[in-house]
Amino acid sequence: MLGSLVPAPRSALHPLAALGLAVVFLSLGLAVRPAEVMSLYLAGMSVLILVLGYRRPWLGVLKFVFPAGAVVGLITWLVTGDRISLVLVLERFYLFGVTTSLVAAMDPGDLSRALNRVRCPRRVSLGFLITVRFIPVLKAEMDRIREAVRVRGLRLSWKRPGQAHRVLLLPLVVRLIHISDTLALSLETRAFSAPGRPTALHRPGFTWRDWVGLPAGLGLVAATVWRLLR
Amino acid sequence: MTTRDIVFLALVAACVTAAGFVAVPLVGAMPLPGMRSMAAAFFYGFFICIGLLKVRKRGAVFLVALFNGLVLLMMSWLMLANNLIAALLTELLVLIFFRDFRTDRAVLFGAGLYMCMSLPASLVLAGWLGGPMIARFLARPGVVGLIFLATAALSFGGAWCGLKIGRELAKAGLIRS
Repeated sequence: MLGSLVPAPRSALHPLAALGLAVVFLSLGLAVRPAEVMSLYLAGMSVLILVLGYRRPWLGVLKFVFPAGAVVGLITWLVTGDRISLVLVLERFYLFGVTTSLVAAMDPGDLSRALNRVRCPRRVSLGFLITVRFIPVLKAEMDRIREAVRVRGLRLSWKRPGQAHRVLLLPLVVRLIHISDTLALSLETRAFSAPGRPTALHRPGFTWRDWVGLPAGLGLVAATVWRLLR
Repeated sequence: MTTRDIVFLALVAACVTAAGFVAVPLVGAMPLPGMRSMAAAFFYGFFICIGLLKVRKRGAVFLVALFNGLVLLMMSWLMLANNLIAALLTELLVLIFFRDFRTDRAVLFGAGLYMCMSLPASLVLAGWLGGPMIARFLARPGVVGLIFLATAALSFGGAWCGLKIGRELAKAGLIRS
């Protein structure tokens, strides 16, 4: 879903490995204070994700992160007059961007399969998958409702919010209820609630990237903690 | 929770996520903390209210927050944590004051409160990301109070609209009253 904004890498890490690394990287990044340690930490992280083949999502995320960081950083600089605060804000936004690039381009289907494999409740992984997959359907439904409004010659105005509620929101909610009923029925008839484990046709497995990326990532984290404690 | 309930709550979570993706970029360039929560508050209140009107069970807010948070997890685990903390606090307060979501007042309270509960964690995150200037800005209780009031007004306004639509749907027999 985020793939339209953030291009996917050619070969990605295992979804849970990518998620785990992103969580550890961001958590430690929140705690790192001295600017020089933070710079080294960010440089190490950037090298690692580039080696792991995440150049495309990394570049995709930077397009959003740097302008936002620059706006906040410049305002901070102007108000405080302290150039260090500008660097601090940019570093934090960059940290956010690097960890996002690890997970943003992930295929939701793969994440759902990986969650199923580690015995995550099927209802949770199903709910997540429906949430992700339904967003384009929702857009199509909204387009259909707007088309119907246009065909009937109605003109929506911000001055009359009550009309928008009746013309846009009410049909949307009615469609939501109908779609959910149909989907639930479809799941039940495909034995979703039946006992036993379902057969998985595609299982995301560990590749060399995971065997290299995980120890290297954890090594970077350990080195940064050691540097902080020294 | 039945499969039907899970599916409906997942669809509600999709609506909430989509509304957030539309509303948040509109204020994304404004470096004021809490603006993102404020921008999406009306839609969160509205859709969570619709979800609760159909699935009047304990844990419904938590499931919507979990599904929404799992999508946001693709950006940062902080957003998932923020969602889950807000949902747990909301469920806890509804449990204390109303026991469950059987009454419309409980639904309005739960749906409106969720976004208010997510605000403290959002402000902490904004204070951390924005550096000393934002942290100093947030140290003023008047400013934080104003952001909180505006978010609460929009969130409860959305929940009230949801309740209004829910009553019409109940009359039409689409949901139980």
